[in-house]
Amino acid sequence: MSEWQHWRNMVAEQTQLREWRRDGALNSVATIAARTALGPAPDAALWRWFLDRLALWLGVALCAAGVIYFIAANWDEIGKFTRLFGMQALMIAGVAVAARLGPARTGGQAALWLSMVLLGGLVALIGQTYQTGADTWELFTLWTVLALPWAFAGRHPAIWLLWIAMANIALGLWADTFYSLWFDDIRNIMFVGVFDTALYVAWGVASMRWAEFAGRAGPRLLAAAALLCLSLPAINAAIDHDTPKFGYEVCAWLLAILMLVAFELRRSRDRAVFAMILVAVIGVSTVWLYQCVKFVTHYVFMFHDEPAALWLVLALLVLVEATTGALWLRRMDLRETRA
Amino acid sequence: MSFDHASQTLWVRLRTAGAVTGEAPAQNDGLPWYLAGLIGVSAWIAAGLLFGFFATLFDHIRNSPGIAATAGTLCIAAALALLRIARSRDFLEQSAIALSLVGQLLVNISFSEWFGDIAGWAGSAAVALVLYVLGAQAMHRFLCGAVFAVAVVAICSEFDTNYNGLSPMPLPILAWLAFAAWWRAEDEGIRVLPLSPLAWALSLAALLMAFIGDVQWGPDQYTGASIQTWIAQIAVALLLPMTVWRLAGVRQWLPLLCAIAFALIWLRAPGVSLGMMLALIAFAAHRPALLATGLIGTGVYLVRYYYQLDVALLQKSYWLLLGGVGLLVIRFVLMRAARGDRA
Repeated sequence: MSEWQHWRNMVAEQTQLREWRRDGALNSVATIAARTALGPAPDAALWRWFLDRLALWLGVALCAAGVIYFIAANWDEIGKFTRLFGMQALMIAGVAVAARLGPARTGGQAALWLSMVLLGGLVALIGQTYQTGADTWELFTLWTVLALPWAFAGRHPAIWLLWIAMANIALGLWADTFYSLWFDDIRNIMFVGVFDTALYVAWGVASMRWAEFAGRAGPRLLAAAALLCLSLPAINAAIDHDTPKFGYEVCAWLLAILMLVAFELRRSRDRAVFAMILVAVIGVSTVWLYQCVKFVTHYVFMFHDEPAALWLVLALLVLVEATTGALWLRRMDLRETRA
Repeated sequence: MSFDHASQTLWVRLRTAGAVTGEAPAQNDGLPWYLAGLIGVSAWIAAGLLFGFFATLFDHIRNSPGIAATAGTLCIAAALALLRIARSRDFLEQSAIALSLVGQLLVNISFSEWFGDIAGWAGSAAVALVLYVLGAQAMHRFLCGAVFAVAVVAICSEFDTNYNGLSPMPLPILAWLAFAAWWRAEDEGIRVLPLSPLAWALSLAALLMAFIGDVQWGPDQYTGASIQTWIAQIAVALLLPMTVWRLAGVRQWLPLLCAIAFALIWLRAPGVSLGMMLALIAFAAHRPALLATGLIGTGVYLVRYYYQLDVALLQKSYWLLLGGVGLLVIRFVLMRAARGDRA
């Protein structure tokens, strides 16, 4: 049994104890006795495993951030070639460590993750040195394209998530060239949302074939990013105009919701993703309903005062929507437990 | 209510060890984190809409503290009554949470109008804590904890008038309160009042303050690190050695020394110390969601730290590299030592 699984089993036992105590099945004396019977948790070996992983991934993340900050500081006491060659040497060293340890070992995966960040640093350094312009979509696109083979080689969800983050930034910056700068216009993030929905489906399909896509963290993060990036423009479409405008933002949001629901119903029925979808539906539908009723009362019935009852009805509607959603998810849970 | 195999097995194990007697109790399915999130978010939205209802019904509610106080008290009373009769019925529970939140908001408005902003927020904090004790529902308790955290931030900002934005003081106060709450929450099975919802609210509020604590609103009057900033950063840095001392014991001097060294390295990056504190507590207390929060929080903070103005970019990069290389060296040394022991 892996250490992670060992810890998860301990988590399940301790959570069960807490629930029995909460429900009154155990009194305080029995709880203490039960904890003593289960033994010290986590033990020294488990702590050693956890601290080893924490030191590795946090160390790598801090080094990556340190190098990127160093490049951004643009320290002029280091010459142009020292910077460029130094960065390349660091990146090659990272790849060499990854190749030496192999992608199956955690150390190798962490080294490859670091090298991928350093690759971005190198691309940014070239842009900084030869004044191609910082934060441009071309730089991020180049980084994303160059890092793709490494992501395939790494075979680890953390490496794929880093690649997806890079691709998101590249796409967002590209979208900014149409409207405004640096995600300033909320419509720009809609492209990122559509892209993340497609990646969510791709991740699900890939999980049937490759083991590195098997976990639930990746799809959940992608679903959260997609829903956030699509819901904000859909809300904006309702409040940013005199009359609610049913445009491409709302169509994209609706399509994404349908796609996520259909995919999850056919695949893993992940309740966390369904809960995220419900939150998005409640948020967007409430704003749209409010704006539509306001429009009708204002322009059709010529009432210029906001009716207080509207707020109350909307509050009740939110509660009904959330309750129905919670009941649906609980039933799904129950069906799975019985099965 | 349900019976699942894992809980039956655990009960039998405990019974064999003599810790429990009788048959395994029926399983009362708790609130999974995704349902808690759904209920929490929808309760906030519903509370906002209910507040809109009161604000529209009683025009100029800010100028009528009497009406706000009466409506607020009625909402809170209704919320407590609903929580008593709800018995896991979702709709009633959610209505109660929304009523409680809007009641607290209305009471805050009336207190602020009558006694001034600081007393108003102090009153809100007190009401939130009382409701935390009385309203026995996990999500309600978490949201009362969140209201308490907001009140702490508001009181600190009212006292500290040197800043255009948020005062740096709420971060250490919330972080220390979270540390204390998690410490006490360890005995949750033994004591009656559960503290983990409060600990969750304080931890999330502290992380949020680490992300946005240095944001300046109003005209740019940046003057570098002030005394308050230093006090705040030192107070947060102390948390990492305290956590290690709590978990490893005072006789384990090597982990404690390492924790002190890293606390000093991350002195100007309090979000990293805070994230690590949460991750360590989470692992010790068997809380995967808190572990994920601590680790993701640290990652997000590292991105946010880039824009923190009180430390120069070059200096930031040195400290980050020192911390990162230090961690990797320690890991390498420990791996070699473990290999030596096995050999």
